[in-house]
Amino acid sequence: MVGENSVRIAGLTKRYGERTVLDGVSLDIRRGGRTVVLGPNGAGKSTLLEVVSTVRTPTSGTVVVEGHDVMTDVRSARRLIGMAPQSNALDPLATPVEVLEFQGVALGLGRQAARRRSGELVELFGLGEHRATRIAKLSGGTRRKVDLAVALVGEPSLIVLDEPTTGLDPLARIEFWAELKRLSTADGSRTLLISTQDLHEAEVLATDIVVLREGGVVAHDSPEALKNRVGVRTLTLTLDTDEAAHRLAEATRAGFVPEPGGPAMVRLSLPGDPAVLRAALDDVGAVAASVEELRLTGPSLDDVFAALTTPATRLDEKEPA
Amino acid sequence: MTTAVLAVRARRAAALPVTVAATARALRTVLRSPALLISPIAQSLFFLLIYSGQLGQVGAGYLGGRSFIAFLLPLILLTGVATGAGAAGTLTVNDLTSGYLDRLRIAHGTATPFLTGTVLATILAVTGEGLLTVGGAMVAGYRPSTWAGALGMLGVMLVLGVTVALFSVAVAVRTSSSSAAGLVTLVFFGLSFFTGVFAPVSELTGWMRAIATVNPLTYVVEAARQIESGLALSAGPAATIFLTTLAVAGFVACGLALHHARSNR
Repeated sequence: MVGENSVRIAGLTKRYGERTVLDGVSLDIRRGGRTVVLGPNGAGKSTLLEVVSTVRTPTSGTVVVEGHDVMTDVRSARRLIGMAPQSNALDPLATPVEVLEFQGVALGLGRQAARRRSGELVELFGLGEHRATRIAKLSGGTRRKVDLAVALVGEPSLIVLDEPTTGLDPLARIEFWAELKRLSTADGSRTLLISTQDLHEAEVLATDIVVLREGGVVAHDSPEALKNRVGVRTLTLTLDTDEAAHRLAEATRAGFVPEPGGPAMVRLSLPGDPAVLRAALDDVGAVAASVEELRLTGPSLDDVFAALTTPATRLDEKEPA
Repeated sequence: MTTAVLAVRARRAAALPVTVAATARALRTVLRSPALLISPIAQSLFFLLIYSGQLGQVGAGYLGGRSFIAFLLPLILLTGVATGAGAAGTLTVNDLTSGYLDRLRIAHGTATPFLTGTVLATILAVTGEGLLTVGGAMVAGYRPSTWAGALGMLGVMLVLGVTVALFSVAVAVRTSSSSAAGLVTLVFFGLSFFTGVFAPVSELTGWMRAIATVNPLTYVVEAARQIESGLALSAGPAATIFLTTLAVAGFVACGLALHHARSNR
């Protein structure tokens, strides 16, 4: 019985000599979701994905993929995992068809089955016109598609993607995101585990977000829930003169502050307290004749990420605002 | 088309078909890398032409009528084999550093068929390079004593090539460094010149004779010369012991390197 989680991680620690990269990570990855792992450089994102995809072995702790422990039942676990590492882990001198067929043979498919599967994936990813082009000559976006296709040769339940769009141009990134969403929704039981440094990518793709810092999980929830926990909306006012902005910043009851780098702009972080909101409206009323623009923005993943880079912050230990 | 219709479930692959496919794939990579293919041939033919052109007449004198180019050919093949078989290390480093070997290892369960395929493909390429070198030597005036002898000479060098490839792969797996893997070629290439390069060891004097006498490659080159010319195989036992020891050491080195890689994952 594997339950609703595709991956269960308990007390996972990974050390390289004296250096601890993952420190007691415990995490459940929901089946059928797109879980995005965020974190600053060195947080342990790639190592976490490498351990889950069995490239690396844990120092301690357990990782169970669809009911199979990656240490004690690694072969069964591997059959269920398709991975696309951070770099294009492909043979640059081979064509997409050759790489796909070879991957099929490596996985245990017969020659014919590997050829058939390769044809299916070439069609699925629209690689037909590139089927005989060497991978080294393909664009970054097409190469990434081949990478993803290779990860899918074995019909995996879990697809692990380490920084999948790094180095792609904006159009290629948008196309790739659409591809990932299509894969995810075409088969509701397929789980995607993705690491990224790109908060916009996380915003677009994630159904669940895990934030890592210094080898530990500091937050794990849906994007909306994480934003709600950060809970701060921002009220930004643009006034007609710098003088009006200074006047408001000096006389404010709510706590407006000058916007750094923005001439004649002030902003206020709005918590849930209605008294602050009323005070803010009074402040705005006092300079109403000078107001040129008023903008209320909700919290973004940037705010979540920024909040979590503060030492000793663990959102999963905080009450919602 | 949707992923729902793609109902393929992979099973654990048998090692043999994967090794065969890995050999074909590595051979394709070598054939698509002109530098890996051309360098050993160009180098061998260059040495052959220069040495036989400059020393052919002189050599014929002190070799007592034996063909100088036939005398030289085993060493030329050895240098080509050392360079060509070293490609196994280069290919392995490429697959390691790109993460492709990890990907294949996870797909199959072990990296062994892919590394074996790399070694086998390299030896196939080196065989082709050796045959072309022999062909080039024939254009330059070489005439085999017997075809069986010429093939036997090439065979001895290919066994040596297997050991070079094994050590290259071992160093590549242990270090993930092309330059470190290249040192294996450098060692064999360098040692090959401390044999009886242009004259039999018995004609050498001083420190060069001392080094050539203890250099195991001397006996490999000498055995290849004896096989080629149909002479008694006096160097055969020493060459066999050396090549066997080297092959076993190569396998052990690969095993240790893989064990180290596993332990440090």
